[in-house]
Amino acid sequence: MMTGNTNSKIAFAHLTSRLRQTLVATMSVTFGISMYIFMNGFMNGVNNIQADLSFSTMAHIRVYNDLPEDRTNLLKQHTNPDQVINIRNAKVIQYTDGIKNSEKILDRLKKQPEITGVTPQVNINVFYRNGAIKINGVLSGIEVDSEDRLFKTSTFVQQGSWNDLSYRTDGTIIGAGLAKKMSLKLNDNLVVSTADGVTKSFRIIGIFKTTIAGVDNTKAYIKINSARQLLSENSSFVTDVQVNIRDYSKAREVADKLASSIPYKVEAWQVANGQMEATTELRNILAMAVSMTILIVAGFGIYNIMNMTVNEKIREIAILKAMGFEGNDIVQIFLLQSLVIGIIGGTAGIVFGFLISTAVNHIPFQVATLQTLPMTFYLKDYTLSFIFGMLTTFIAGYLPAKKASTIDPVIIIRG
Amino acid sequence: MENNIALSVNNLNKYFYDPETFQVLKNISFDVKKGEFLTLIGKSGSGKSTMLYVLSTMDTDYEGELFINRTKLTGKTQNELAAFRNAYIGFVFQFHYLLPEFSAIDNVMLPALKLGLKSKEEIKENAFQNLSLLGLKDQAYKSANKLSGGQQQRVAIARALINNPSIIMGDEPTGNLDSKNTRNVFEIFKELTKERGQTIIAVTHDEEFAQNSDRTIELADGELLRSE
Repeated sequence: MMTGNTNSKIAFAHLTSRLRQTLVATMSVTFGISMYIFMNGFMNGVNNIQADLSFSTMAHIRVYNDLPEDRTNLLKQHTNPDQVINIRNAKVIQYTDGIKNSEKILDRLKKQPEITGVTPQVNINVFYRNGAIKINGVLSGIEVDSEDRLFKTSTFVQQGSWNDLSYRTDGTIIGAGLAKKMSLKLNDNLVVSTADGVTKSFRIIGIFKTTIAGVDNTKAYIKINSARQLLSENSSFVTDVQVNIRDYSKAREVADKLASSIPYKVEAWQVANGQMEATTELRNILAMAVSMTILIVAGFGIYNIMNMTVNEKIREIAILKAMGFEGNDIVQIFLLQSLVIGIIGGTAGIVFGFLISTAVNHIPFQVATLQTLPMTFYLKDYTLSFIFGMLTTFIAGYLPAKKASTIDPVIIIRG
Repeated sequence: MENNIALSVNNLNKYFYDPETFQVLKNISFDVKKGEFLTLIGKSGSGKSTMLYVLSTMDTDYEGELFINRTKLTGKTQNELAAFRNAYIGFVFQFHYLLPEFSAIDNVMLPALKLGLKSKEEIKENAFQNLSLLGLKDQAYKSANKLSGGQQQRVAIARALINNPSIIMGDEPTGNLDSKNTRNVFEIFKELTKERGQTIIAVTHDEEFAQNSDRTIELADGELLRSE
């Protein structure tokens, strides 16, 4: 108890007698921690934006009725060697398009705990016509609310309003590229014709722009029931069920699990987009590499400064030992200093890191759907960096103090 | 072994290895009685300071055996030696080696606070008495780095005395002091040996200081020359 007080008094004297050096050590901790917080926030922000952009038109999991299996080699099934078989011009004569009884499947999907959103769609390949112009595209019949919940489609609508679609059965919201190609404006009419020859005219009540040209140039939204009408299907018919889950990187596992209970094709986004999976993985690896690099660089910075602080006091350590202070006392004295530097530097680092992140988050960056530079503020990054800062400071204080505490005082005194 | 032996060394040998192997102390054996005032003399490089550090347990890199108060100290761990020094040895360095951030009295109190046998108030009182004894009553609360060299040296002596150690060792303890203060310190040392039975071992260059001590040991080239 008595020694504890004495030790903390010595530690405090060391800290205050060389304020400048204490300040430099504290600042190195602050710098390391705030850089870690900022870089991680920025990396995660960029990653999230990229994921958001990718998933603005694509769900994590898609449920649909796949074409029947490959039956080009029908002879394979034939086993009786006494018969002669001749097959010419084989064709599928019975094939159900789309999902007929969608309610059951939707119910089942909505009950899954890892699923955060489900929306049914009726997607139809159509020709858009306006006078002589004919463009091939996809007409997407959607549920206005759940579609927006999954894809935030309303944020892409530039003219008109997404919600208007819910009470306009003859309304359509079309891609900006499509509108331009067909010289159409708001309140003009868009004529669509299906593969089966049905033609219908829709009123353009909105124009959207996702900045993904492939979508903007070919897509138009209508209400899901209007789409069913076009195909003369009943009110439980859908072509696709789009599903979002909590963690998009787990889509494959969730899809595999769902596949056993759903009689249709359940496809994770990675299966349909191999190249996107690769870029996502690479981004994650890059983020980890950057984060590790900062940890190591910051760690060495902190270590060096702390080491210097201890080494400058090494003669005093020898004197204390000569007077009878034990190894534990010496270690205690320097760990106390580390602790103070770590806590002050760490707290300042968290505040400073937050300030830098907030400032960068306000820098304008008007590309695609972005307004400012992206940034995340995860509690995890803040806690982790603080723990890391404390740990490094601790080790940096402990190692040289431990070393000094085990050698003969005379070695230090003699120099 | 006799009961009144404070310190004894047997066959002490010590080598320096850098830049080349060199024997600093050669086969040294002697005893110091309790209450004895012993001075070590010799030319510079004769090994007297080196020997003092070995005797003080601050240097463990030697061959031979060291006993203090009949406790064998050779082979003990750093922590055991630190605890032993704290309770039984007071050391005065050639240079004062005070903690510059602390006041004179705080410096003096440190070893006693570490020992933890007395209350802080008692320790403070003792420290103040020690400082007064060395003529530093007025400097007690000044920061150590504000004192003159001689004053700092006397603070260091006061610090060495605080735990009433059975042995006080000094590496030229009066080297930085003027003749008046040297005489004062000498008188204090003399008194400690006579009245309290404390043992003093001091390395010195001061002929007069050595002559007035109880016994003088002279070292030359690491060997014991005379022990009168």
